[in-house]
Amino acid sequence: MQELSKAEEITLLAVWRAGENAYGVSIRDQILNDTGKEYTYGTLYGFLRQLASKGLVQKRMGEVTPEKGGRRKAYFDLTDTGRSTLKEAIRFHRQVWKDLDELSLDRI
Amino acid sequence: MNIADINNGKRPPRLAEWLIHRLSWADDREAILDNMQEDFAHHFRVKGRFSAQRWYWQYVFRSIWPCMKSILSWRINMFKNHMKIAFRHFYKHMSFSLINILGLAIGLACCMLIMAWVQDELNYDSIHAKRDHIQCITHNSSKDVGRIDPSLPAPLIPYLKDNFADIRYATRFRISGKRLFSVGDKRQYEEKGGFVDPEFFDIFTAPSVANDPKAALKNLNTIVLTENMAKRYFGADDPVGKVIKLENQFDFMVGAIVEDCPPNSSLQYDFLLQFENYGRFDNADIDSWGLYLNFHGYVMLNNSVDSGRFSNLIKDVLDRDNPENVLKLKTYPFSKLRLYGFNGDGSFVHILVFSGIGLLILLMACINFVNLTTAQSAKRAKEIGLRKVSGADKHSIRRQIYSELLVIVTIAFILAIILAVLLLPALNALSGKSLSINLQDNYLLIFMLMGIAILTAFISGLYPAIYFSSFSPMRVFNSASRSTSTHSGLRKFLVLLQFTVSIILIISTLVINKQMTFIRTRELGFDKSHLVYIDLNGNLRSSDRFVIKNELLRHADVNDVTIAQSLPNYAWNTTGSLDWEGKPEHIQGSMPFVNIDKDYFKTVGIEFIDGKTFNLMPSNREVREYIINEKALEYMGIDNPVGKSFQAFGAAPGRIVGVVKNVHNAPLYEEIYPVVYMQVPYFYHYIIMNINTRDMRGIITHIQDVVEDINPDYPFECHFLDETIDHYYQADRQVNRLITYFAALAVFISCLGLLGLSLFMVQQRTREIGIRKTLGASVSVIVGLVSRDFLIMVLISNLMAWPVAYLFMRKWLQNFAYKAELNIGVFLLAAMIGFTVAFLTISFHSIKAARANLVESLRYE
Repeated sequence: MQELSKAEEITLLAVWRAGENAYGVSIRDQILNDTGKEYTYGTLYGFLRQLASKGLVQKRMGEVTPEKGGRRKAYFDLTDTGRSTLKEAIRFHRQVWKDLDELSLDRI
Repeated sequence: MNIADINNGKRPPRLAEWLIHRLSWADDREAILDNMQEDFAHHFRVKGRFSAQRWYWQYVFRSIWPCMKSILSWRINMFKNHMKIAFRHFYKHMSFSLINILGLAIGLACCMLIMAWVQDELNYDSIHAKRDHIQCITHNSSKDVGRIDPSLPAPLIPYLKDNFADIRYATRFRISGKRLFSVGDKRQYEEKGGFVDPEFFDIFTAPSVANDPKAALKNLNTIVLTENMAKRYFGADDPVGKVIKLENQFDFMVGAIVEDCPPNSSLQYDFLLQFENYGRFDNADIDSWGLYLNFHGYVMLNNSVDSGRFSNLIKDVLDRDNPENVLKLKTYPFSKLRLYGFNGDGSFVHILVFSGIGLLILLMACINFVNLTTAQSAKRAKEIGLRKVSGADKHSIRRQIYSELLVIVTIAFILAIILAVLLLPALNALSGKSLSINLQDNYLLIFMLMGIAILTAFISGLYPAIYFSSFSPMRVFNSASRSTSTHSGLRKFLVLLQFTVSIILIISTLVINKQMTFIRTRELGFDKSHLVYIDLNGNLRSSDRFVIKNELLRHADVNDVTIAQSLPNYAWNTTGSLDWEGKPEHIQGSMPFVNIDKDYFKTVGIEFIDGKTFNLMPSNREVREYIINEKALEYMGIDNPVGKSFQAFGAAPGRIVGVVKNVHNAPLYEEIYPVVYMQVPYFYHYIIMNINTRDMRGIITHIQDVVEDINPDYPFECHFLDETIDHYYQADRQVNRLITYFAALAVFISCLGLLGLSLFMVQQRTREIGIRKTLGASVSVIVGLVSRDFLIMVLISNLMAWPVAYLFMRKWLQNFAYKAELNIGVFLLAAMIGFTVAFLTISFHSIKAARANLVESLRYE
């Protein structure tokens, strides 16, 4: 399975949550909602590019419509590998944190 | 957001959008901009236009640094890589690199030196703070109305000052000529001095070291010295108030000390005297309105006065007492004097010529870089191709070429500065200037040098960068072994250009040399190599001339002695009005005159065509005798002149007793002057002697004994006429030498280029040469094979250079009234030099290749 950085993980999760309509604005809003972090588009697209190169998401260019003033929207779809990587991540987190909560970290 | 919104102005700021466009990753640009626009529209709806725009800008600023950081880190990484490759390349192709560096360094050094020279010329007279407000009073020349003549009647300047309120200050400046100074036992001639009016110090900048020089010069018997001269005569003592004696006759009190003249001031003086002294010293009639004397009149106008209007105002002043006057006054700006002279004889032409040559030499060095770099394209094609395959774009390749250039230009630049500093004393000696490349406070020069270096890099790199970056990887890998003959056309053209420039410079050098030789060897009409002269001063002036002559003639090798006003090579002073029997109406009647005695023609060696020399005693004031030269006869328009009556400006009437042959009584730039010879004894300046040159030392000792006996208070000085004449052409000789050196450098640089190209060619054809040798070709056949192309190019460049050089040189020769013939020989000689140099350069490598071991060359690669 692919190693993910935390930021990549967050982004990947946000892509899943945004579902069908996962594009720049919606993904960014999703991350803002989930974590309170406000990524710039430059940063966000950097992560998306990395995810795409690992084959976890796929970029899909939208239609050119006159309303858009000639610009195309870029959508990001979760691939099967991406989905299984997310599952893996959940399992991994559960595994690592299984017997701990915040209080238990105060014990020596 | 839709198109309607955009049209309503609901779109993000264009500049901000552009920034994002520039900063973002190419693949994501469109999407990011789209997302941003959507957010912008949202903000617009919720919080209004202003807030939305502010948000957008904040966003942009937040993104700039991270983006820059990433771009920069990439650039720096790539730059490191380029540098590494550049240095590897440098070492691997050491000979090419050295050729490039040497060529560029020489080119840059030439440019630096020429720039320092030009800067000095442009700053000439900048010491004079009011330079731009000073006007020189001149008039049109009587011979040629278009020309400007600065000689004036002496009373004119005070008259102008008194009668025109527009003039704020006015002064005359007469170069004093050689004067004898003595303080105690110290006795010395001083050459640099001037007669001026006190307001000189209001017009020109001469900072005072002690006392007020203006106040000092109000007194007739006070002298102003420069620091340097004061030190020479008074050492460490305070000179002010001390007495200094001039010409063993006049006592002057040192009134003030001023700073030394900087070398780039057109007024050069060590001492300044009040103008009235000019009359006293030289018996010059400084009250006469009819006598045009050789001095400059300078005025400074009030600030509000327009110089053109003022010039118009004084135009007719000279009509005052002469209704037939044709001379009109005119002002000429002092600031233009150095660069343009009165009649276009300033240094501007030289500035143009030398700047042009400097740039051409630099261009030739750039051409070397272009040629040598593109010549190696076959070798580098694979490297560039691989880079492109690994994702380098055009810009990256261009940056790489420029990185390599940066290495070379930087090294060349440092070398050039060292070269320039080393060569500067030589240039100073050649040009008689005192230039310095002082980089500490000469910011302009630093900027200009940097500018030139950057320009050089840009020009040299332009073509190779475009050429290399246009390589298509597909083609490169398909045909890597194919030679790069595709671009040899351009290379040939550039080499052609280089050689054309070189040949033009060679021809120029040869022609200038020829003219200089022509001047040196030209028969002047008198016996210059046997003539020596001494100045007529002190007791010599008052003693009986016959006694002096007889004393001098006692030596067997002294053939003849004469006493004269001027030397045969230079007719000076202009008469006022002349009149003669049969004078045509339309002739103005003004000619230079020379005062001599009856032995002059015999001594100097001028032959009579008609009549004979003076018969009467010079002291006879009732009747005067005149002798004219052929030119004067032509000018006067009469036949059988001998015996006809003649009269010169108010002197007693007389008659013409002889006509002599023309001699060159002016530098060869000018036509021979018509001259009237007469004998007015109190205008004599020189004793001229015709000697046999067998025993120089003996004759000079004899002359010295005679002169010192009569004139013990004056240091003895004896001059050779040919040296004096030689002095006229010093400026041209300097130009000649400079052009010779620059031509040599240009030839050298083009040879460097040729050396590189022939080396490359030989390397490329190593196997061909090997095979040819195997099949029996001799060394000479192979050398011919390699040289042929280059020699054809030299031939073509000769053909191109000839007409250009011909036009240039014909123009230059027009400076001279008497010139050497411009014939085909010079051009053929230049061609021969070109061929020889090119052939020798090429043979350096071709012979080596032709003689190389066969096995080695066939095993090559």
